[in-house]
Amino acid sequence: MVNKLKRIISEIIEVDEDQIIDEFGPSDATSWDSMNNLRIITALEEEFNIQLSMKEIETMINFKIISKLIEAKLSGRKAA
Amino acid sequence: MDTKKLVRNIKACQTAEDIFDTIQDLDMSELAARHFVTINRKIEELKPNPDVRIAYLSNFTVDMLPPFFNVYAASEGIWSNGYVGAYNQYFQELLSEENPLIKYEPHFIILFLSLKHLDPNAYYGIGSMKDSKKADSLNKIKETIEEWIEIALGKTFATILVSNFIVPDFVQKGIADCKDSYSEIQFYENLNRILVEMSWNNPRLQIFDIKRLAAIYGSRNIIDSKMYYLAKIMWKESFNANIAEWLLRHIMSSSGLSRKCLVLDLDNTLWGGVVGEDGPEGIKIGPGDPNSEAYFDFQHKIKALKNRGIMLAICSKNNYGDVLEVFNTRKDMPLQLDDFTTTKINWDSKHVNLEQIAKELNIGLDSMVFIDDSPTECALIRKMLPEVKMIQLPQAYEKISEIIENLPYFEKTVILREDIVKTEQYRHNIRRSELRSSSGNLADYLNSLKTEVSIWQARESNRERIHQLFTKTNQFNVTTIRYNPGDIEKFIVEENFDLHVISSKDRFGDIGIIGLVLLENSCSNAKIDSFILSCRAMGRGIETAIMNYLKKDYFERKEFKIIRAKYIPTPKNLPVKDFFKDQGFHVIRSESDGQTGYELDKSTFTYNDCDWIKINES
Repeated sequence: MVNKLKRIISEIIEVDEDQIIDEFGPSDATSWDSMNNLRIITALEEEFNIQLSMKEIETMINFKIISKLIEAKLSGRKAA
Repeated sequence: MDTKKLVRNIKACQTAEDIFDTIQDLDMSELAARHFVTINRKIEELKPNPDVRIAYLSNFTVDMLPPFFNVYAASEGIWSNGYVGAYNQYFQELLSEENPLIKYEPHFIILFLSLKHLDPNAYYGIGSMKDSKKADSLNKIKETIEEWIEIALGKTFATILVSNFIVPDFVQKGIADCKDSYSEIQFYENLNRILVEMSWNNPRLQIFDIKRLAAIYGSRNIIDSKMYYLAKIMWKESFNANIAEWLLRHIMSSSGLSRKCLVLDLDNTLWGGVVGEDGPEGIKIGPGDPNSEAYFDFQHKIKALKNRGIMLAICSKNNYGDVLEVFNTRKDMPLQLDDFTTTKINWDSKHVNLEQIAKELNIGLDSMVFIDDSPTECALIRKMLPEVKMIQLPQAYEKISEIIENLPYFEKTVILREDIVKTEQYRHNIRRSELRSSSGNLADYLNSLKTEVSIWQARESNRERIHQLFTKTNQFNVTTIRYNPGDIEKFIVEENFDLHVISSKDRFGDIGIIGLVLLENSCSNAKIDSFILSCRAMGRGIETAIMNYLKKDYFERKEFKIIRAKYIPTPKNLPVKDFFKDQGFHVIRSESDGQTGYELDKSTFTYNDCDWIKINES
């Protein structure tokens, strides 16, 4: 999951996957602008078949948080 | 689809052609939104010369759309470039002093409006409005849009597309709305109707039917409230792909890139089964069983294409007699033999037959689409004739008729009289050439045709046909300059241009408007800017008759001294390479790229013999 997530973000904001470390977020790349952030949201929802709420989107400030959020969504779905 | 590999291949592209090779056979519906962005970035990086510039204006955020369109267009070999206007500044964009939009010189401007932003009072308040107030609101909205259209038409030469309005999912009065004397739904329908009526008298204005797209794809699937609250984006990212595909239909048809002929295989394509084995009564077509009904629907849709002016042809490996028996006995089939402009029913290779069809109809291979069920035939044609758009029929017969609506190649911005009678006219043409081979002597043949040609100065009512001729004629076109409706308006109105329109008829029938000549005049010189003759009128001296008329008109009546002309070579206009020389013009300039300048002098000109054609002036 983490690798797939990295690949998606790297494709959209055109940053090497190696650069996307845990603390990496919109403030670290000018290409992570609001349009690309929306593209990332769409891609995550489509690729992982999840829904992200506005409140969750507000918390997505770095890679670690995003990956934890998706992990939680996916495991929650498995449990249910 | 292996998207990882796709992304890698795209990143490796060195030229625009590489991009085209990588994406031309992709199934676009399988791409995720971000792949459009990746491909578009490559297009922007390699900067191919744009064939088409599009300005996107809106009162909501449409920045996501251009990458989708650019990729769809690229898959058809069209390079496009987008300009996105500032949010909600669709008037300012046209009126601002700096004019970035005007300087961009868009070929197309598309305007998307949301009623929620255009008239919030109407949008939110409609449930409590009196009927008269609704009518007032509607009128106000109409005036705003009309004003914008007028400015857009006046300030640019672009073709203007105005998107219509999607009916909201939430209707304020609920199910009672249907019983209302002036319902909320009716309000939107009236508004959309007003747009349709605006477009009637203006060939430069087209309506972009987003309402229908919303219905096809389902408004609940396309609207994303999250994207709206975050960024005033009205649609889910994926809906941009559907809009792009639809927009491509408008752009291709307006730019003369629609295809002209649909060629069909017979067994297991036009009907189920194999006529040689199952016999005329055994093939599957018509109401009755599911399989037969699927082919019945397929044929009906193809018939509709014919009625749009698309020529149909058959290319099939069969015994001719078997097929003839089908058409003679199965009168219940929607398609009958005379719906086809030409047929090639034999055992020759299909690529040979396709080339024959192109030759007979006087069209390019790139004007053809071929549908066949056999994967081997499809592969062969793709290899031998890459210009032909090869469509393989799906194996599941319930899906075959969907093929037709998914083809973006057969759109017309408007259906003209010339389109409706096209099959008949081309069939007459084939009969004319039969007459020609039987009469043996060319002069006898030409005399026997009793051709009459009418020439007049272009009128407003001819504008759409003129646009068609400018955009669609490839062979008899000396300069192949693709003028848009804005230019045509200029030629009709401005004094220094003469735009002559030519129609013709003969003993077989009226072939309608078949040509035009555009001249630009200065002092006592005239310059032939365009000389266009539809391919259905070639080969019988009509061009000479027109030229004789021009000689008489300009030298004898208007007393001009010189007529200049120019030939610009293209891969397709070889038939007119020596046209001006044959008409007595002298070469005054030859350039290395094959462009040639010609001149004809009043003091030395002569008429070319063409007494088998009668000219009517009006």
